[in-house]
Amino acid sequence: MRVRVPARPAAALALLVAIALPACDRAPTVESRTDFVMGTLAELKVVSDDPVTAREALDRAFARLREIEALTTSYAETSEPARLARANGAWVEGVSPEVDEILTLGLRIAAESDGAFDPTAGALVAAWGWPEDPALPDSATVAAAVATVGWRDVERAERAPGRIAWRLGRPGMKLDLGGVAKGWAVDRAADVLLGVSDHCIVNAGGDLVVRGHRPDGKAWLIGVQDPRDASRIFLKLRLPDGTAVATSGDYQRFFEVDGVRYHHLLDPRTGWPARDVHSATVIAPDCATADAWATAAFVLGAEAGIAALERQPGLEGLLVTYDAKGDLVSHETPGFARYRE
Amino acid sequence: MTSDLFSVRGLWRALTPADRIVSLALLLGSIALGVAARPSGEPTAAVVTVGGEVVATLPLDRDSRVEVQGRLSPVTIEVSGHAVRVTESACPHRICVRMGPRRHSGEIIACVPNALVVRLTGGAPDAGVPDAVTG
Repeated sequence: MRVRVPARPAAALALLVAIALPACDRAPTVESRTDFVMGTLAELKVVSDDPVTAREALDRAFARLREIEALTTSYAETSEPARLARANGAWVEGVSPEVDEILTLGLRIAAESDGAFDPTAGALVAAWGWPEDPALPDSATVAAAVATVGWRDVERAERAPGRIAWRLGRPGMKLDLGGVAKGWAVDRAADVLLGVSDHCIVNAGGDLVVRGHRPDGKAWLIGVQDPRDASRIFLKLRLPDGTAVATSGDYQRFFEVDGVRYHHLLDPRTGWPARDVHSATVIAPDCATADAWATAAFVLGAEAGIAALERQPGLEGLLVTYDAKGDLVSHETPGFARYRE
Repeated sequence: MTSDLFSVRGLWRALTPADRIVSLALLLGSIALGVAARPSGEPTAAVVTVGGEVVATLPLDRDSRVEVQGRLSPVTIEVSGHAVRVTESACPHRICVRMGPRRHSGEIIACVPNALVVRLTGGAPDAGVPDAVTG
């Protein structure tokens, strides 16, 4: 079809449009925000061509993180873990869907990891004073705390659709959902951002999930921190859409007594810090799973940890130990290499 | 007079020589402006926040050292050789100190007990710098 228009005004109009177009260009950019939540720094990024909508979504995502933190923290009397502990073995009715889902997942991974990850280790974590005031407990204190740990003694009942009750079956038993709730919260924050963009990344202290890709079309690039030197990245990963990664390491939170380092990653079965591995990085389809399995693999040690990850569909992992000279030794599942940059 | 404005050739033919010169000049100017407006190169400053409030902005083009009051303790931040690092903090695990220097746009150093964040701003994100770090 040919359009009949006076040439000179039409040319001028076309020219104006051509010049004005770059000014109106709304190329997607990354809107990001950081804030402290769940005991760590969270950084959320969303790719969008509408900054106002993106910022509102970031607000809602942080609100969701805080909501989940309030429900799951071990350090507030109003939280659900505190309510379950106070019940001292009795059933607690009306448990929230959030804690119900997190605890169900945590207990499943406890079973799959033979207790290397255990969401009932709250009393043990408290005996060591983590995270606020860590100190070396005596053996009797550790043994008493270990006696309260036992994922098999937690029970769930569904009274009616949506009406859930839980009970902690051992005297003194306390939940510590920290090893799975943060990852679960990351997944839910990403759900919020997906309402405005297909491309986002949610990172809470190194537990992170990616959706879509970067504005340049490439997969999100993730650095893995060197266990020996926090200022260095020791490898980079390209994570495709719908992938999460989490790392557990002995180099972040620790204290020393008589030259011995005691870190916060406790073996729930012995009560003492796990010693074989220095860092465990797990890639999974969701961050809650990556979070819990990073802890489980760390506690299991290099050989058993890799074997356990290989048995789990959709999981890949890298465990780092040191050799006698202090050099890093990598142990990884067969599929981990495909994520390397 | 009829003109097919939906083709470049048609548009070009509709213009007089003077129009063409002006159009080319505007086009080149527009491209130059776009390139100039695009951020490039290294970051220009380290912005320090405590509890979300900006408490210091340190230009990276000159070495400096500043002490800010965090939620828990004073924190010393140093700019040296276009990089920023936390050199002193009385926080329990000193993760912020062990993070070492940061020199790329968008990189951050965080101290959770002090609610402190140091963020490198200005410049363009380096495609080779990770979008996030796990560890």
